[in-house]
Amino acid sequence: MSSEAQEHTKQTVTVPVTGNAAPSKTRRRRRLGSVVARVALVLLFGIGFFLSAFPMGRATLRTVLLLPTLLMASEPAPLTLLDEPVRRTQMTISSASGPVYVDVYAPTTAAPPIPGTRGGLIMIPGIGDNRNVPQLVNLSLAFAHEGLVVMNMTTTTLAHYGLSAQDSDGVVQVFRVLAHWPGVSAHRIGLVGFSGGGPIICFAAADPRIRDQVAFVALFGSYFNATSLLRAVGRRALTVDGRTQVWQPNPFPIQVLANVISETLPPAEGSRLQSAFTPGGKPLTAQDLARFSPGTVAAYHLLAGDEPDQVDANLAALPSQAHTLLDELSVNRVIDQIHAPIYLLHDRSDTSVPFTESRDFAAALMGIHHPYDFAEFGIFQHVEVRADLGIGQVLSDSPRLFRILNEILLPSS
Amino acid sequence: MLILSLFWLLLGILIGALANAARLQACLSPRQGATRVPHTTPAPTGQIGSLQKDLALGQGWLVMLAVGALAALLGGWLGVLLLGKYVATAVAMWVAVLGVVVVPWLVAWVHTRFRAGDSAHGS
Repeated sequence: MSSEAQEHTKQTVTVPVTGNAAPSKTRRRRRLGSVVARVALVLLFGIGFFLSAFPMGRATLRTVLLLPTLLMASEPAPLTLLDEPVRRTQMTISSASGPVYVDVYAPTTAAPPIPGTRGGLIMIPGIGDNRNVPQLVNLSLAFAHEGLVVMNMTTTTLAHYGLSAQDSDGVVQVFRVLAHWPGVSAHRIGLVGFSGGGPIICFAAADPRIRDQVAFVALFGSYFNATSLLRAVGRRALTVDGRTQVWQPNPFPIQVLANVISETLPPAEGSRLQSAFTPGGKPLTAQDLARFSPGTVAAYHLLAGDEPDQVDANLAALPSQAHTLLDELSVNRVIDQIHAPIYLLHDRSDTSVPFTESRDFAAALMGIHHPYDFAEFGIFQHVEVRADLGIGQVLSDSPRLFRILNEILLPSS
Repeated sequence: MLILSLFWLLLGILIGALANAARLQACLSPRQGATRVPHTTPAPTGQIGSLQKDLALGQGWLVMLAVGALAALLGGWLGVLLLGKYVATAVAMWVAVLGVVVVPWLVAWVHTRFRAGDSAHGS
């Protein structure tokens, strides 16, 4: 043993215990503080590295940043610091079913070297031209600020409150434009359908021209089967977990269904049926109905909901063209042709499209072992965030919304 | 970008402070960095040795804040260039942590090499 070490031992032994009590306590506290700080540093390193180096981490970060913007229906001021500059433009694209009107939200900067390409979203914001609805604009900007190129589209049929399966060609054409957008990868493009836009998105996702490229399909407040939707409208009731519950649809989906079915009726009767269900339209009288064909009468009773016990008979009395059209507009005919994972979101108290439609959709997807996720929410009113959100509701729904948004953002991260 | 850069600097200073709390700055002391004196070793009884140590630790404390801030700023800008703005803060975070861990270690290592070189030349 060296002389220095001997001296050390001697010193340690000779120091009185009472005099060392306070310093040793301080030393222990310091050591504990040091350990806590080291753990904090390891955690910060791990979190920072995960959120930036891995696609799943980047998707998580994007979701964390997107969620407040979505829930508050506007972007919180501090988050604007992280925004990529975005330009909004409009374009018209030709398709087999006519012109497609597109609003583009694209970052003005080049795609970052990692991952090297941008993701893209094609959204159909329901029936009608809803491209300027503030919540949609906010959502589109939020996605674009995070580096995605967003294309919101509508067609002439949709803008006139109609629905046509042929509009899926419009989605395919928009997909092609987006796939060639500077910086966008064709394999990172997802399709999002709100409400009545959902089926058109599904028909496009099943299209052999693009189905192997579509990264995901997200449907919000959409229907699965047009006939079961019409049945729910006619019954003014839903069957949930084997129990019947009252369901009062709002006038808009009834108007759209009237527009759709009227195409299969004699022209004069069809236009009369349409006008009966437009806002401010006069209901058909018994004399009117007496003059109409059985198919038109059945369609009227289904839409008016005045014969809830005769729904099956009225459905059977619809013209065969109406049945063909309803089948053509139903998603169930194409689900086995969609290759992308499907994410379903639905407002539990939706008065436009019953949430049981998404439940049926999810059950069908589970039956064919197709990758999917499904979440029901209380924070939305059909497809828009409610204005009177309670904190409890937000807290209970946020994890589900986070999960689905994270899945949606993963391919583009 | 100015506000974001200032935010990264602040984040780096906080991480530097955490590194101080974690006693990572001890390596910046030439005396401790070179010889890695264990904490259990009693302080030297001589007044001059104690003063040297305090001075060295005091400078190390400030240096750690500066290292954290600079590393975070560097990481933030690197994040913007490589991954985009929204990920930059996460990059700033882990680069700052990396900075406050690696820089003191590197300084100690260089110091040891330098002294070892000096001793070799001297003998």
